[in-house]
Amino acid sequence: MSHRLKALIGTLVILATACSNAAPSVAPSTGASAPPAATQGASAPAAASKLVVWARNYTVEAGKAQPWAPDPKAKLEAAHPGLTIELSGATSGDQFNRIELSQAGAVADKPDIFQLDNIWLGQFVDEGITANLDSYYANWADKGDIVPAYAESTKVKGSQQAVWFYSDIRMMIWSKDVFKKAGLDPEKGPATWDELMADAKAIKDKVPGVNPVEFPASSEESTVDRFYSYLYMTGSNILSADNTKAAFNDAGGQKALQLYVDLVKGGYAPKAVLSETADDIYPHVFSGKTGIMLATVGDGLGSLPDGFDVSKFQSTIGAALPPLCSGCQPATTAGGWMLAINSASQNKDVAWEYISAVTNGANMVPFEVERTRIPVRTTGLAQADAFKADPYFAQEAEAAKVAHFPPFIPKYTSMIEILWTGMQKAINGDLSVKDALDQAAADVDTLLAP
Amino acid sequence: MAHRALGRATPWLLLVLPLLLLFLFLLLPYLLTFYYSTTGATIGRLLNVQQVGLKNFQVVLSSHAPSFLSVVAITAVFTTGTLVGSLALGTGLALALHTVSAGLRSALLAVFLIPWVIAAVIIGYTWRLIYDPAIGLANGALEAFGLAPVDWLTGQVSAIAALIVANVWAGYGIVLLVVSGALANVPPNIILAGQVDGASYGRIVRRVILPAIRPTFLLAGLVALVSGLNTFDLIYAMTRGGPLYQTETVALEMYRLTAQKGNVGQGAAVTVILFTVSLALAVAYVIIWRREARKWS
Repeated sequence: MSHRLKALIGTLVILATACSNAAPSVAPSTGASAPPAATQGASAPAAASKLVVWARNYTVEAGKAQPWAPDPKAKLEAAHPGLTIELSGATSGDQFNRIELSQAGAVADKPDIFQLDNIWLGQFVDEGITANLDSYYANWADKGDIVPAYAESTKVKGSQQAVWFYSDIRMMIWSKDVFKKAGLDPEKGPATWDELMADAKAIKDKVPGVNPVEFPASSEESTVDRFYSYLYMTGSNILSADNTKAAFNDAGGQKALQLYVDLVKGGYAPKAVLSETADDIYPHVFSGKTGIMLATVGDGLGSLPDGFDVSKFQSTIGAALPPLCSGCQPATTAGGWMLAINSASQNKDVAWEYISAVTNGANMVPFEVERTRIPVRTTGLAQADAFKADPYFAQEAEAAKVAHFPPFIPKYTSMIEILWTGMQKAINGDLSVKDALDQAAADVDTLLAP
Repeated sequence: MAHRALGRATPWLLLVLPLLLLFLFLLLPYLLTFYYSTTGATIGRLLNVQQVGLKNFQVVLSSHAPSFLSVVAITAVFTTGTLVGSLALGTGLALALHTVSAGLRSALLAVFLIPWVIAAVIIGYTWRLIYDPAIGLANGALEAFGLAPVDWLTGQVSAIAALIVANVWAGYGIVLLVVSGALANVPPNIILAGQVDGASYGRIVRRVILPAIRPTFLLAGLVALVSGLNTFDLIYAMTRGGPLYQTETVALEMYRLTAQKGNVGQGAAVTVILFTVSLALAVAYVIIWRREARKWS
């Protein structure tokens, strides 16, 4: 190889590598600027020929229970001759990207219906992507079937913008093996913070090499998502009622974060939680290396490790609502997926008809059973028999009644980065709980300022 | 006449498609990145965006969470560690392989190149599991020797060191490949001459082999340097830049601003800065290369 050729190749490699990330792909984000707010929902033409539905990949997986088909799809197509329903699935990140890019002018195709993670709702409403569904909700017989805790959460800026599809709930879990070794009752997890500390102490004293308690505190969403339950139970909130100011630094918020700090300071939780996600901690509990995980996504069988069947799962892991502080109210945090109609859709009436059929409690149950998702309908939650394979369905159904949600605001992903950084400063001992939360609150206030 | 014109045009016609593809997938993204770095573009609004001049650069350079200076410092440490580690491991292995038979060398080379062909994200998650404080292999090994476990990814020093080790493992292959190729071209008679003079293998490496492959060594070093500078996926998989931004590099900052915060303008500004640094390295490389080439010619 000649020297010049080598020099040329070297230069090209350097420049190509330097620019390989020049146009990074996109993921959940904020976006302040956008078209005006959503339009009113009754604008369907006489006959729609195609209904485009952008769903999550596993909801349209062949050979598995699908909420979209075969029945709801076949019935709608039969009721509207000439109509075809075009279903396509995407992973979470891709789903966000294609919805956003369809609005940014980067993708010509647009959906009539799209599935969205609940934390995207505020941003999509702000960007005018979701249609206002008030007129549909007003005449919807099934609206009373939605669990009350969920029903209000799809309202943004005073209007209904989406329909709940299915949910997941944060639960405390514990290792029954570790509890046995610590001389604790393996069937009874801690119900209060005092019991939590006592159980943690027993594990620390009697089971060497095991972390008594763990919670995620790394630089990603599960840190705040799993913390919210403890914050909500104190009566605190993440933001003010109008979502314009931080509220998490009040006395309740400080009390909740102090629990985390005390667990680390007391040697009951390792400082390594600062680099751990919820997904890291879950296998620690299953392998008996951690006694209690303060909160995880309680999707029961959906998280079964290889080699576990229902009975092994039940004999290994205990699950319950997060333990309560003195004078606090039971609370947990819910996440999950919703359906919305694109404000630009020309087929809103048909889209609504399809959403009504798909989200119907009876239609959803087979899918929710197979995927161990939590129903958002009272009729779904009442079908305990259908969910008998899920060892903790009873606890999850109870938890759904006291579920809270993260604020659905456009700058949510930026806001939570500020919050988890504040939490990390307190857990790491860099700042007091109050100072860390006050500093984070000030940054959030700046972020949310108009 | 027409035949001659067609003959002259043929090379250009053949080049149209590659040039178009080059423009679409290389030059256009470069240009768009430069353009967006001077706009207030967000992920939800990429068209009809407001021009903000150099404001994005000002915001990025004066940011405090994390400070851009600390991001640059972390990037410098990580890149230097990656460079030194990759060169040492890649060159060391290449020299070791140079001492075995050709058949065994090919087989071992294929084995040693495996990490290089694995996706960085997979390597990142694998190393994350290795460093897991409760169930990871690293602490398991320490425990076997009666040593206390380490929270590898929690403290800044250990986290950056852990990232460097993982990145060196992921990237030493290119150095190994390039240096192995160069070693094959070292005239055996000069090595034999050294042996006849009674020089040890170490002395022959220092005095004969390394000087003979110096230009290639330079190329391998620069590729490792820029690769370290631009590493994103592995760090994202292992630490996401945390905790407390302690492992946030420029490449991660670019992603965080663009993809997580949706601020395409500021993300593009960081990309332009990274591009400029890489371009400076490329220019430095060409200058050094020319100097070396003059010596050899």
